[in-house]
Amino acid sequence: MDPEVRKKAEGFLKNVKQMPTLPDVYTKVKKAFEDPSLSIEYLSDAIRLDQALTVSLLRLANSPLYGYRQKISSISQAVMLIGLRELYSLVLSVSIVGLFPMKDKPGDPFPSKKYWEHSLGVAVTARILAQAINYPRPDELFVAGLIHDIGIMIEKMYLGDQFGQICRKAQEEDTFFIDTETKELGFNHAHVGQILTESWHFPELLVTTTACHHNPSIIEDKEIRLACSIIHVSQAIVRGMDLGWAGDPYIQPLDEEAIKLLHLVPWNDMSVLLGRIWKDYKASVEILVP
Amino acid sequence: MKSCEWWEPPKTNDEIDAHLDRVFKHAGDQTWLKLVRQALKESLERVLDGNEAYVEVKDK
Repeated sequence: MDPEVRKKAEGFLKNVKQMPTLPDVYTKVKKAFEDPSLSIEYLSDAIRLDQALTVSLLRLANSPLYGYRQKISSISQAVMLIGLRELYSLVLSVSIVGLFPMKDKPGDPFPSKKYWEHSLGVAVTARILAQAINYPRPDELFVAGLIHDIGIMIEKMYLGDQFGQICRKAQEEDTFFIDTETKELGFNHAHVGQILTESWHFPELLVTTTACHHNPSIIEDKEIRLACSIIHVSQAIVRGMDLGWAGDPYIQPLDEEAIKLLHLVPWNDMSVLLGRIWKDYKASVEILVP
Repeated sequence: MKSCEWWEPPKTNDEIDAHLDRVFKHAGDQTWLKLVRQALKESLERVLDGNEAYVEVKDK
């Protein structure tokens, strides 16, 4: 990030009195994920203390998103069946969505529910594309998709009237939301998202995909560039499917390098892809975006 | 296709074309996005025929 832009974005965030912080349960699950010596019981006990999280996790684990015929009735069973890594991603996903209020004032130009529907759409699409191209950790891209626009939520919560003005201006002037943001603020949601995910000590992949989802080809690390390209392409598909709202009624031109990197040309049976996205989206939207 | 207070599915073939023209207005001339557009067109036409927009995929 350009140092001047970072200075401006950090200046905005310095005025935020209370930045959202992830719940303790996430810290404990992260610890269990990173330390193989900790038992499944430790993990299950940590999660069970948070009833709402436990319910959401079990509903997701039993949803068509995972497609298990066997009913999963406990967290320890979920760990055994879907795996620790997947469960960690789900805990992170549910925790992040829970940090932000879903209710808005009447006439809000950027409804939170619509925002999360878009983000969830990108999450399920990224997971499906990752599976399709044999990316090693599709669950990681689910989280990356869910948080890619998280900077918008911070702007919405803390910019006050200026945020509404930016939304209206982008629509009135028929410009891309990110261009209007950059022009008005000197920074945009990708910069804010980068600083926020850095403050949460997220892995480099999540920080970089949040920072560069509009321009993945600038990333040097090959694996992270591939991951970010998946997010980049996923958001275009989701915008085309009209799932939720992220500030623009249009698909932005895609980064040519991203398409090449994903070898997406063989995806000529696009209807199958859209059907799969729709199925996973429907399976998870009522759980994560109630 | 999901309907909400912001958006109603197009009700005629002309409306489908107009909707897709709007969504893809700035998308450029990329082949892959043309495939996406064609698939979306087919899914919206399914709605006109009284079907669900997207055919659910059973195998995973």
